[in-house]
Amino acid sequence: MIEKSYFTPSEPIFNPFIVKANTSSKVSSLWQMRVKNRIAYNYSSTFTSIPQKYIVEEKRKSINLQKLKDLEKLEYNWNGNGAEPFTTEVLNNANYIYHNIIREPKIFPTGRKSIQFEYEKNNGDYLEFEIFHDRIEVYMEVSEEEKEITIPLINVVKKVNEVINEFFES
Amino acid sequence: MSFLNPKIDENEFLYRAIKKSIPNQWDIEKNRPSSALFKDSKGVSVDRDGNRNKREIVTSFLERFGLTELKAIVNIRAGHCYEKDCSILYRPLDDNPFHAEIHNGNGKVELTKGQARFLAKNCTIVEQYDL
Repeated sequence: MIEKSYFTPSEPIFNPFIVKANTSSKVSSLWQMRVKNRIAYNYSSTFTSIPQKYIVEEKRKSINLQKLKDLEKLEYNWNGNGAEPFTTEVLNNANYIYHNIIREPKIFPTGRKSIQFEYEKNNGDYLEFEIFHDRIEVYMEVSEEEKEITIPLINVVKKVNEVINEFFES
Repeated sequence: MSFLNPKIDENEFLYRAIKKSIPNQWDIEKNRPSSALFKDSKGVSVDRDGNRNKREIVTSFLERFGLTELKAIVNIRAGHCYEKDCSILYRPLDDNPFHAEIHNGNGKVELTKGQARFLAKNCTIVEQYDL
């Protein structure tokens, strides 16, 4: 069962973008989308079995929330090759984006001071967001064609969600 | 100390250890490494096979890292790296004469996202320690 916190804004973290985003209608539409998904979930769980994709999303969510906490604890040389701990800026960016995107990603640390969010479809199409302290780099493989763009941190949630929508609707 | 040919043949295998950090770079849903494993500002650190068998190579990793510290060991054929225009630099260390690094191949150290993704998709699991 989806817990209540899924529909309530995440705990505030110190990031100027959050203040801006929480007062905008863009975030409101994000919550509307999640509520819409919830209604669909309730309907389907009442009348049919729970769709596998919701179970996967819930499992990922639980793993992701723990991963985001654990990323803060990684120490020097966590990868055996001298990787540094993550900076507050990178962690804040990752947390902010995670709590405002429309689909649960898979989250991984890299050895180049970035945190990676990944999506992959069953047909092998792939989308990743590599989150740095000052930008988000996007890499997409759709029908074996590669595409890369860089997203600045201004209006980052809107742009990231647009890319996710574009990827899953293609 | 350097006793191997510095030029790495396309049929040689390169081995990489994945540490059991929390979180780590293993995709549990796909049971393979994420491309994040191949994104490293210091180059992707690997061990050449150097005509050793798999058992010798695995033992060498276990001696250096310790069983409790390892999530998995994977390998990739050097030819896969060359296919994506990566360069492989033989960089023996005092305590590891088989050490090498995979670089971008364009004069840069860090792999591109496409290179990292390709290597993640094409590497093979040699050992996995926490099933």
